[in-house]
Amino acid sequence: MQPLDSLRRFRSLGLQGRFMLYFGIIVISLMTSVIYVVGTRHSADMLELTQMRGVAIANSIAAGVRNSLLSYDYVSLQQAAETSVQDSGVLYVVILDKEGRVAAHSEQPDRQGQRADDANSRRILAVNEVVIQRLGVQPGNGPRSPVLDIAVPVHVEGTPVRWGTVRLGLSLQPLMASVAQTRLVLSLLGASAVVVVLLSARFFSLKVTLPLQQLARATAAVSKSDLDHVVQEDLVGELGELARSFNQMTNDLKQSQDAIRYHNAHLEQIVQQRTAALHQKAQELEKANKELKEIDRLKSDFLSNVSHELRTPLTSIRSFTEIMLDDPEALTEDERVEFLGIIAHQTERLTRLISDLLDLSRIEAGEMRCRLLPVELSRIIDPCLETLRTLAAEREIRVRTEIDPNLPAVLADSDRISQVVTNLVDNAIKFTPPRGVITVVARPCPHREPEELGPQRGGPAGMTSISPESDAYVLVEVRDTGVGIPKEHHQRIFDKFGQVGNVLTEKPQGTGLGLAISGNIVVQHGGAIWVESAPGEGSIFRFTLPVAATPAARPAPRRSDRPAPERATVAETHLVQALQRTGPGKQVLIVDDEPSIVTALSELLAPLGYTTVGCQSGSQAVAKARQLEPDVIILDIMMPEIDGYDVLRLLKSDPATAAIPVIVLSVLEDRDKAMALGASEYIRKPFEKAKLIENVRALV
Amino acid sequence: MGQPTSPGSPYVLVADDDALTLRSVSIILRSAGLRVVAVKDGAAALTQLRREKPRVAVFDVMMGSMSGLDLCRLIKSDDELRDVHVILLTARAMQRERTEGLAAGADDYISKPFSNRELLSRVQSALPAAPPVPP
Repeated sequence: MQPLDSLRRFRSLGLQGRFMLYFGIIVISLMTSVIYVVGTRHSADMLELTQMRGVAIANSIAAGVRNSLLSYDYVSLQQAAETSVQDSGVLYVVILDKEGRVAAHSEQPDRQGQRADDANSRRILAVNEVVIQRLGVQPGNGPRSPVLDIAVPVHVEGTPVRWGTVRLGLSLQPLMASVAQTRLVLSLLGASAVVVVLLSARFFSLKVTLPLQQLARATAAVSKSDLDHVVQEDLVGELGELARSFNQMTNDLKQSQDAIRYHNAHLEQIVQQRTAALHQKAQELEKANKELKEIDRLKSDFLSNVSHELRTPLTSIRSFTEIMLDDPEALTEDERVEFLGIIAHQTERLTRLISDLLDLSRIEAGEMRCRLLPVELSRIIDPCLETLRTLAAEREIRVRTEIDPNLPAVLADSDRISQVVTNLVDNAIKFTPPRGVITVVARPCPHREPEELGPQRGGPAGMTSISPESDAYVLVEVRDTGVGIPKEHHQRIFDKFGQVGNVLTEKPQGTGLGLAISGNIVVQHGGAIWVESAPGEGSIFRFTLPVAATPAARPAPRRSDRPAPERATVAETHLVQALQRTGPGKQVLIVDDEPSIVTALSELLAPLGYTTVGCQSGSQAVAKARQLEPDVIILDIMMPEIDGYDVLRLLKSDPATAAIPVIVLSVLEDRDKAMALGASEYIRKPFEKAKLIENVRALV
Repeated sequence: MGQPTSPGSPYVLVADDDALTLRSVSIILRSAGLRVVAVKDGAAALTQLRREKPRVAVFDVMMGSMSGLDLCRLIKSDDELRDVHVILLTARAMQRERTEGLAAGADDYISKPFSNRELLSRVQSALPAAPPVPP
């Protein structure tokens, strides 16, 4: 256990401790050996000196006593012995004769004559030379002390014959004392040297270990990320270098740590920004998704409505047609007429819906174009109202007009504005209870939009391509005494899918397309449309149209004094007008590959005083046109071999036929192409007879 | 047109808010000798259902306040009326809407525009016990 403990203690010693331990051990062993060597040497020298002195004394005694020995003069011998003892350090003198008897004894004179018989004496007497022995002698009762016993043989002069022996004892006490003193001095010197060495060792070790400790603390601090710890650099030699490189290192570390911290912060910032951006993107996406879903829902609702609106008239048409076909005999004449009327009416409804849908798709595609000409509004409003009076009368609704007699002509596409007026009045009739009143007002107005309300309806910027030619407008107002519209729906009703009401439980009143189309048309004219209404207070739909810079080309006769037919339809009204104004004898070339169409058109136009010529192919048509030079050509597009477009091209490229106006009559929806090729008018199939007649009349 | 029918005999209840459809359906069914009660909305249909239980009910889906679907659910959840054969007649012809109609418990689903013969045969097939139509 003990050595283990020591080992452990040694191991736990610091650098300084070990340093001092090693130095201590080295210095102590060095000093010990010095002391040992010097002490031993000194003691040997002293012994030799003492021996030489003892031998010298013994020789001088021998020289003095030789004669006395030869003469056996014991008294003199005794005297000489006793005298010699008085020399310093001589403890005793014994003189032996040649037989080995004691001739004189300084200390024990009574032993004179006695034989020296002890071991020492025998050793002395055995050889005829100087014998030096170290003996421990106890003189008297004193303490035993070391004695140097020297025996010198006394020879006869000039011969080696031994005549006796002088023996004396020298005390080694002074020698011992001297040696001890020297050792003491040496030891003291050694001890002080050890102390000095240890002190300097400590000093130097401190010189090394203190900075090392400082460095160690600094390193510990650095390892705990405290980079502000600086070590002193005013250290000697390698330590200074170490301290400097240490400081350099911490500095570098600090810089790189700062750089890392900066980059981290930067990264964190970037991450935050990215996260925020991502978050925003996600929100935008969610919003977009929501909007898309809403659009999808609206489209789906819209489609559902359209489907419903298409199927409802079709249902009646099919049903009543089948009823009539199944058993015509079972029906009365009145029933037959009534059912046919229903079928005709539903067909018209269906046609209107399809044309609305096509208008809408044209608007969607940005292809809705208006051909603006100066026109008097009364010429548009009156026919529309004539058409709708029947419907109004059925519902016991009175329709009044208040048209300013001095109304300036407006710049408008009559067909389109007629569509708008019809739509607004038709809506008013639908939403007005029986015995209500609908008033249509038209008057000049200085502003495009209601100033106090701001724009209620503004189409996309791209759609207001037509800038008004003047800043004066005509305001058209359709006022009803109907159910009214809550304010929150005022904007929505002009939206494409803005049908107000729940699709599932409420029958939609139309597809909700009319107002969207009307709004678009008005905006295209450079006007504005808006509504003023509150639930229970009726509605006022207003729109404005820019006034034409030049008056209408052909002032229309005022027809307000003419009584409206009780049950006039669009066709009938227009037929009457057409009949009134058509000049007879004009020639019309009818081109259509479907004979029934040619026949129908001929039957329509012939009673009005037109001469009609029919043909059923494109090539025939071009030849006939050159040959006859008709006043107007009614042209189908979809024909085998040479189609209507080609016919149109051929006609327009031939000077003989280029001036003949062409009315294109087609199921296709490509008005722009036909107009671009030089057609004067474009009418869709199925067509309204009145419209066709109107156009023929206008062109011849 | 149509054969005389006596009250109390099995009848067909027709409800549609479109007057023309109501008229044509009535004509078609009556011409086959069936007794028809035609009403113009869901509320009237409900009243008639309570008054006299029909064999077959032909309902339009979209009718003002109470839809044909509502009527259908009501009939199918009523122990008294459950066996009335309900035919939904609608212009809402999308698959989703058909599914909705069948989920409401409708026995049959006819899309507008319909063939008169088809409508008649579907109604008649639901009337196995109906008396033969006198020539």
